[in-house]
Amino acid sequence: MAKHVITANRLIDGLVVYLSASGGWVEAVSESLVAAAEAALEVALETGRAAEAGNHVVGVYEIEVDGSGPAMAPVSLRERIRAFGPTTHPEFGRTTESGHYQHSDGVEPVRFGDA
Amino acid sequence: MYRYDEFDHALVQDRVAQYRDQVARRISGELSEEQFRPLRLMNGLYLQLHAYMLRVAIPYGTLSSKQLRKLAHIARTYDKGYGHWTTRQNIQFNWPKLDETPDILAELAEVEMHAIQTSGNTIRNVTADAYGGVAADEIEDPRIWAEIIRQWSTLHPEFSFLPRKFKIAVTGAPHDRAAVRFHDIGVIVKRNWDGEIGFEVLVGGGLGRTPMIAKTIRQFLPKQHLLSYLEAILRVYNLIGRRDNKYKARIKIMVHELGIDEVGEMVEDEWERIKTGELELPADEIARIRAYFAPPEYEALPAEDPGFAAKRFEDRACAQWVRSNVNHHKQPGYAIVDLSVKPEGQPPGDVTDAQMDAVADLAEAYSMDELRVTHEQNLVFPYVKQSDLYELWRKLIEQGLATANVGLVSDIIACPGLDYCALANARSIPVAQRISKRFADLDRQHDIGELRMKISGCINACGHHHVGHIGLLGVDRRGEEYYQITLGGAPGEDASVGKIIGPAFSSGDVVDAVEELVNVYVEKRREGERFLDTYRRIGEEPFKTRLYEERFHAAA
Ligand code: SF4
Repeated sequence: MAKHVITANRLIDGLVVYLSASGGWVEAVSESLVAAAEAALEVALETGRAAEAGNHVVGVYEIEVDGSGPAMAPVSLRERIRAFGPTTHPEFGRTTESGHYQHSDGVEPVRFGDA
Repeated sequence: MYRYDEFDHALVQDRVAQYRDQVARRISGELSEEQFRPLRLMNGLYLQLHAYMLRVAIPYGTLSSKQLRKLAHIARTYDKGYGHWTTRQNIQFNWPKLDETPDILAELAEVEMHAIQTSGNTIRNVTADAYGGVAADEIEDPRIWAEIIRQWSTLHPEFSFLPRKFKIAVTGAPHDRAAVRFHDIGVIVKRNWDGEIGFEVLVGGGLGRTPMIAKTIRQFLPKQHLLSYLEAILRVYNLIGRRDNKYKARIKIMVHELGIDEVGEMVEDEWERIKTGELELPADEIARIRAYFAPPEYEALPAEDPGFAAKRFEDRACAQWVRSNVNHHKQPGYAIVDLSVKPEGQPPGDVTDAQMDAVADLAEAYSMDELRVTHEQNLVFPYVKQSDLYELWRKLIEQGLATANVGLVSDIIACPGLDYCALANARSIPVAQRISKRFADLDRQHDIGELRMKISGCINACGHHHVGHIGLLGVDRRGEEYYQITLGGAPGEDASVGKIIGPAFSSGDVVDAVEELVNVYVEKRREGERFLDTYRRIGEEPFKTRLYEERFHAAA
């Protein structure tokens, strides 16, 4: 099975979070608990749902990821944007990888203040 | 400007207190998300991709400097230093924390603002021509009527759970800058044969997955009956609008299925029963509201300021800005100034807290303390003396708000798209940024002339792509961002819905495709024709041929 992690939005500030190995919620996808088998994913989802019932997070679901360690990233564009921030505002983002802020023809958006 | 009366104050304060309690109960776990969701939505709070989003109502887009400073303060204190103007003349904050949202609403209440009915199946913030009260072609200030509608529709008990959301727009001028034909109800201020002022009422317009142009339900409605007539329409809709299918729940579907004549008869029947009741507007009440929108104390000035005429002649860049961003005013010696919130290569409609503060200062100094938000995500200074134009222009340049592109190809409406929105298929903002960079040369943009470019990240059409001269719609092709192109849409009095020109383009190709469409226009246009006029004259074939046969052989 492809690698999966559990994601949600944190209740108090709405920010995107991932379930970590310790059972807490972290903002970096690279620090999340990876499930590579059905059974492990089920357990992780259960933990996530319990946190939702406990009103810590909202909207728990699983997503597919690729890579490992610091290079781990979600597979879908939507989830990459959730993980790393809007592609238009590097100052809001969670990554300094310039690739995230480029649209497909390689044009990097400018920021206010640049000119 | 309209000022809250005691009733408004009490209502908004009560709402903040009630909401504060609801948030506390949500955080303590007393309320589940399921229970809380409708409550937060009633107060304009969404949960999007990255965070909560708070949408604040700006009735008919009118703001004072004081209110704008408050919005700047909120952006700085509770957000990441940004606000985003929306296509309903509202502002959105993209990063508020749940536990701080009651404080934000309390701060807004201090300046007579709120987030009520910016979401949910209610009558949403009423929009109006952003040039209301100052446009040279205006019959009457549409904001008088928008405000009367606002008061009637705010927390209207009968219309808190409509089949679907409901949008009303008002224009006071024959030239429609408020897209009234694409609203659930459009109101056009009109004169009848006897010279009396009243309204043409349209119903059943909208965008989304089934775009429709509104149809006239009443050619002429006398003023005093505005609310009773709207109430009759809403009652009929509330009763027979479809609640079984979200995609068929808007009034446009009801009008389409039953036909405008049948809907018209039902409305007339209902209206007959209520028109002389308590909703009939007394003349003194109309006068009371009208007084809030009385023209400011203009100075007596010559029609053309000679000093400015000379400056304009000397400074080509200034002349260019005047051409696209300055409009005729009713009052001699004054001008309407559009502030472009579409600087080259930047996200349409985003403003920083510092820009908001600066704009508030400039509005105070040059526009009698008042500004407007347009549905095209720009700002307007409605009361600028021509003799101040040159100085104002210099100061707007410092703020990055003087790009001479209003109404031109880089003045793009783009919805938040996949960068923020949970419903999106594809990104909108970066495509707008790339198009803006591609056409960065202002001389070229001015040569191309009026071109309405609009981008939506999904079929919900928040970026109004259906009414773009060129519209782009983001679609998902096996996980890749693609963009479908529509041509020939128009939002105004010559309303039309754009037609899909062919298979969608990849994100990599779409900007080239747009440029090719513009090239075809430039080659084929006749003297004085806008892109839309040329398209209407020559049809889609030349554009199609260029895209699918000559330029992108493999596109399909
Ligand atoms: S059009 Fe779609 S993607 Fe864009 S803001 Fe609306 S719902 Fe979101």
